Amino acid sequence: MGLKEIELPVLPTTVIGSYPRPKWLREIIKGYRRGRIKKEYLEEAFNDAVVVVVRDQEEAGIDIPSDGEQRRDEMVEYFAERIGGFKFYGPVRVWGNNYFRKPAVVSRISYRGPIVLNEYLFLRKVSKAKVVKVTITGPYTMADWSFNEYYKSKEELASELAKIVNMEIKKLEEVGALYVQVDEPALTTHPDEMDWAVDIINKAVKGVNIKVGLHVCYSDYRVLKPYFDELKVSQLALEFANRGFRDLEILKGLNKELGFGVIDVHNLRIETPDEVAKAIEKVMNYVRPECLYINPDCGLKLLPRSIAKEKLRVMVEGVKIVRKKLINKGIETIPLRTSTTCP
Amino acid sequence: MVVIKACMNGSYPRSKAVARLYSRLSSGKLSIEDFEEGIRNHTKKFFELLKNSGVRLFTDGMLRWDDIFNPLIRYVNGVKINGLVRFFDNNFFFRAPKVVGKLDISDNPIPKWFNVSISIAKRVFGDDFILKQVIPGPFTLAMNSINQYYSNLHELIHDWRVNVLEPLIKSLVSVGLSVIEVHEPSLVWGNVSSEVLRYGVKEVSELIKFCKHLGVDIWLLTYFRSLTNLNGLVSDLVDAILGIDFFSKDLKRPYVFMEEYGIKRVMLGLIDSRNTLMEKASMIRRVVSRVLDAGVNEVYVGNNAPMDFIPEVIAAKKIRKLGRVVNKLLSSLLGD
Repeated sequence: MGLKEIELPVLPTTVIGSYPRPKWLREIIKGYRRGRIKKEYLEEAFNDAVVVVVRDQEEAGIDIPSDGEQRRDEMVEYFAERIGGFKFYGPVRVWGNNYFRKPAVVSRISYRGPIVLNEYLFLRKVSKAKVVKVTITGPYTMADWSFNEYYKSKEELASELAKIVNMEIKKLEEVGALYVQVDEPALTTHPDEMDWAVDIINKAVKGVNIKVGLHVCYSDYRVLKPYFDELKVSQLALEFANRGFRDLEILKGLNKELGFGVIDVHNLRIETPDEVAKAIEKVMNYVRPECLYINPDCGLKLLPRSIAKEKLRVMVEGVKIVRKKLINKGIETIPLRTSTTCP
Repeated sequence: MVVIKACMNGSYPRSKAVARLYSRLSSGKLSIEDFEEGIRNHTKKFFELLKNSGVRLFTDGMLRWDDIFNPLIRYVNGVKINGLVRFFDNNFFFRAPKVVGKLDISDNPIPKWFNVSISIAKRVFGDDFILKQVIPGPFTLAMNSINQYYSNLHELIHDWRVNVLEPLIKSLVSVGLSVIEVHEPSLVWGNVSSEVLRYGVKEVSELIKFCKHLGVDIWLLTYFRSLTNLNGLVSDLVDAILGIDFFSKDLKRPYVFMEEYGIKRVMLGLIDSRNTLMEKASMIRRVVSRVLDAGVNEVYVGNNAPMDFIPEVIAAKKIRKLGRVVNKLLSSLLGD
């Protein structure tokens, strides 16, 4: 099926990317790190875990699943391990007792070959969904969340990383991927860098002809708003549940699709379908339903798996409430858009 | 008489071993007694690092704190703990205080923790040390609160100071506190009207007076952006030891600034808590020497910001270097 013919149900449901690893996978990873498990068994376990988490998402009713980033410990770490020029000193806390291994750039950045291509190919093979999502950490966030010991400026480092991200997305396009999401949670953290940061993101997606979403979370969206038009992506996936659906007014004038975050991924309380439906109805005051995707705020990996699945199920139930009303109005499907605007 | 000392400010990276103590406590696998013993052991290990590095002016590393606000805000009536918010421009997040009622501090374990830390420090250092307690300042607390109760920011800043911080400082004094380290990054962060900022500075200067009255020395640490942005307002704050982040991009003419405002006591943030690159001894020496030329007579050299943002192995290396460089500098000056 070509990109242009793909229709999705109105308010397509998707995930942002990560999903909790099954307990047995965590044990196998631990065993591998202690030298008790062979690499080939670990690989097999990763594949099995993807099958399981795709199944979880599909059972919950998600239209566009991801592979739950089962092979990735962390979003920057995973890429830094596979790109030349990085070094790891140790873990750094992100909040509470959550850590990531923040990499340091100690020499020239180099592309050592495909990074997430096999992830996509395996996901495509095991998912029944028409469209699946592949996530890639964006060049700005990779630069911002690394210690720069080598390049003269963060901009120079990010620019080199943009070339690598661009190569990777093009490789995904070549093998048939339809939807890539570039994750840039750091994007708005330095407002004075926004001008060049947006150029860097556009460089990373230059010449790409498939759907590209941009995920930005836990951020000051007032900083992002002036750049809505300039960003050469077809969708912005933003977090709103965590902030109690405040700040929706920043969406006034949004000229592209919105991936609307309706599930708080840092809270064990499971939302109700009514809460989800109300939030969607609220956002429809700012964004037309034809331009809306529905997703959790961010990756689900920090939740217990049962809660993550239930949250997705509830999200889909909430969507169904609104969908029913939209279908009554004759809005049933939307196309899979690649354009950078949503008319 | 010129004073030059190395100091460690704010948090030291919480190791995964400490994080494991928390997770084992919350899952019931560890008793509270064993947890406390674990925290004491890690605090002792941290103090030994400081002692071996020649740093005798320090905090307890804030091993029990998730960030500069938590757990303090959990012991404040009128506050609910809200979602995660980014800590300024870092990939570091905190649970924000949602203010839903009149602020008022409740019973809290912070003085007890301070007491525990001071007794560990005595065992490690003898009497030759100063332990600082870290608290967030009233302005930073207010600017990072989600305010759903107070009709204006002035009242919010005021009540953080009067109803929360001052009673807390008083209770800390009763267990032996002599130096308080107040973190006020919001004072220099910008994105605030000059009227609110002026009021914020006034409230902080009231806090300084309060501490002075109690006989407590107050350090006022600003970071991520430069204290030089405060210009005229800084004269209200000079009774505190002022912390200046020498790695903030907007730092302008710091030496002229110190001269202009007659600043006599500063904490120079010359150890970068946000990068793994090691600082050059020559840079530290140059800055200290220029600061002395600018008329400052009490110079503390330390990390520019909390150390949560770098791996523990790097933080330890930086602390060792800090002690080495400052002590060498001191002996070369004494030798002159």
